[in-house]
Amino acid sequence: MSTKKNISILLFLIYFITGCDQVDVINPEITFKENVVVRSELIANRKFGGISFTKTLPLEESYDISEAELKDVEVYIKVDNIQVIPLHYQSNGIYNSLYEFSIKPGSTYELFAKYNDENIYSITKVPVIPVVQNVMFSDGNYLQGDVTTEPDIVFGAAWVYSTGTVGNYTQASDFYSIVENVANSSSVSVRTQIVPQEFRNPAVRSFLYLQPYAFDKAYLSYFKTKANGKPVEDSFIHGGDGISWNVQGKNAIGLFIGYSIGELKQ
Amino acid sequence: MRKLILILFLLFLVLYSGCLKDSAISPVEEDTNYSKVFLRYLEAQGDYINSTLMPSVISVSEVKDSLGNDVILDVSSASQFSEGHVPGSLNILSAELFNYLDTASSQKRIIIVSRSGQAASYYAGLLRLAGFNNVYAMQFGMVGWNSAFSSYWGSSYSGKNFTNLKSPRLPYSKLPDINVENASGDIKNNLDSRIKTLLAESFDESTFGEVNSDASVHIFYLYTIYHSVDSTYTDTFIMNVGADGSYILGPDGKLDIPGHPPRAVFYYEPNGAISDLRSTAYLQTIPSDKNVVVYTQYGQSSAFIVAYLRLLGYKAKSLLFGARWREATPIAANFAYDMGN
Repeated sequence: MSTKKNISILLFLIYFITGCDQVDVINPEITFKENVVVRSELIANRKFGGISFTKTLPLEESYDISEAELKDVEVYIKVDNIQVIPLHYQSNGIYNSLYEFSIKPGSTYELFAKYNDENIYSITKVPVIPVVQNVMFSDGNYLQGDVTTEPDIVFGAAWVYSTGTVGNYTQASDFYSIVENVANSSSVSVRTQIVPQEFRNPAVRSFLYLQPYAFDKAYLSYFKTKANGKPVEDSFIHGGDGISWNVQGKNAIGLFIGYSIGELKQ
Repeated sequence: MRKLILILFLLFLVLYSGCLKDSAISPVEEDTNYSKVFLRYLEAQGDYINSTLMPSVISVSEVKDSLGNDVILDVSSASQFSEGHVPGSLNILSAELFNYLDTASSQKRIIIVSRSGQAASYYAGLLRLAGFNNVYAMQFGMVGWNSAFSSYWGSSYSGKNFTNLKSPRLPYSKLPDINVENASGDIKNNLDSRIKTLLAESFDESTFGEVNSDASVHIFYLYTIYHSVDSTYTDTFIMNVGADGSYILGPDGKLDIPGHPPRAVFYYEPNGAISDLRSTAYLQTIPSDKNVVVYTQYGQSSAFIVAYLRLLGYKAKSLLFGARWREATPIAANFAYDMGN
């Protein structure tokens, strides 16, 4: 009797233990997962441009903003853990404040939202305006310089070609890298992507500048992962697997990121 | 045997707990402060307090010209109403205003009247915030209707310890905490419920004594606390909402006669183009942990503003009769009035 009882207990346990093994069956019809996609850039000393709330659509569907936009999100932002600014639906999934306001460098912004009874949250610090020094043209094909650092802020640099007249302005489409201050020094070195040949010509090189960017540290993870399986320019639109987002919430992805742009420097 | 079962059970716990997955997403905390919910709702409804519709006052002449076409509700006490009232008006308790309007389904304009228009402005402000867009306060109340009621306007007085030095705004502070019965319930129901509570509050517009009611305060009360600069005074935040001149200058625009009570802070009045009371501006520089006294030119706009601030949870009171140290008594129209009930 005792042996039977022991066997029964063992079988019962085996049933339980093996029962929790998950077998992932890939069914192409059910692989699509709808995500709430949040996007907002908070640029120091510029007017707040709103927050976009959309949902992902199945890949087989053509992207239609009227299908993707979310119109009934309850959302507000909180500045420095004190000032509450409600946001209201405008159009195309954009939520903005009733009145204009400027993003303050050095301030922290939190996003509180609720959609379908699920909370969405994010937090970002807007860096102070970065200052770059010791700009030089390196290896004959890119610009580099030193930016003064602050905690939890990462930096990038873009080359800018500008003659100062309308229509003569071109800048890098992306950063060469996003750098952080791992050595805990007072400044870090940043560099641009390679400058196109036509702007490297000594005759026009005097119109070439380095523009420093400072980002909330969360941008570093995003920058490193943003190309994961998706074209950079479409990373907000379809999917987002493997990309490091800084928006929290069930089935919520996206970036709510503060950054500041420094003055052009040669 | 018991030992074996115990070992097996422990083994089971270890193995089974090992297959529980960690939640991939940490739970998102919700900010439970409810005043932000009202703030967002009121903005979505048109942000009345920062709009050109504020203050919704109507002149005695317009009321006179439209007698019979409007619903006129007088919130004065029964004895005051008996002394005299606008012909055709109805005496009503402020606490009954909401239900009256809710059930009247009248398309007519609703004119709220009080002796001096101060209390009427507070209650009209609350009703506007509740979404009754056809509600107005009669400007200067019965004082403006007929000179027989001039005693209901506070006498003039000079400023004591006044200054024309500009006091800086305070740092931003948190929105007040307010409790609602059902925080997860319908926002409009919660708003209406709070407004009904505020409508039942006292707005004493008496002209004498150290009035310090729920939503109004007399300058004599402030004088008392000026003269004893103690915790009561430092716990009171005085704000002037208006135009620059009303804050800095004394009577007749004289700079040598200072224009505001000590430590009063200036805010631009809501006029459509600009308002310091917007969420994106300086609303939250009003301290939520102090008593707040709001004054405007005649005390009517301040009563509307106080209605808004109290709805959000601020401990705000309107300074009766406004900047009485620089503004003259309103001129009465001397229209006929009825007496009795």
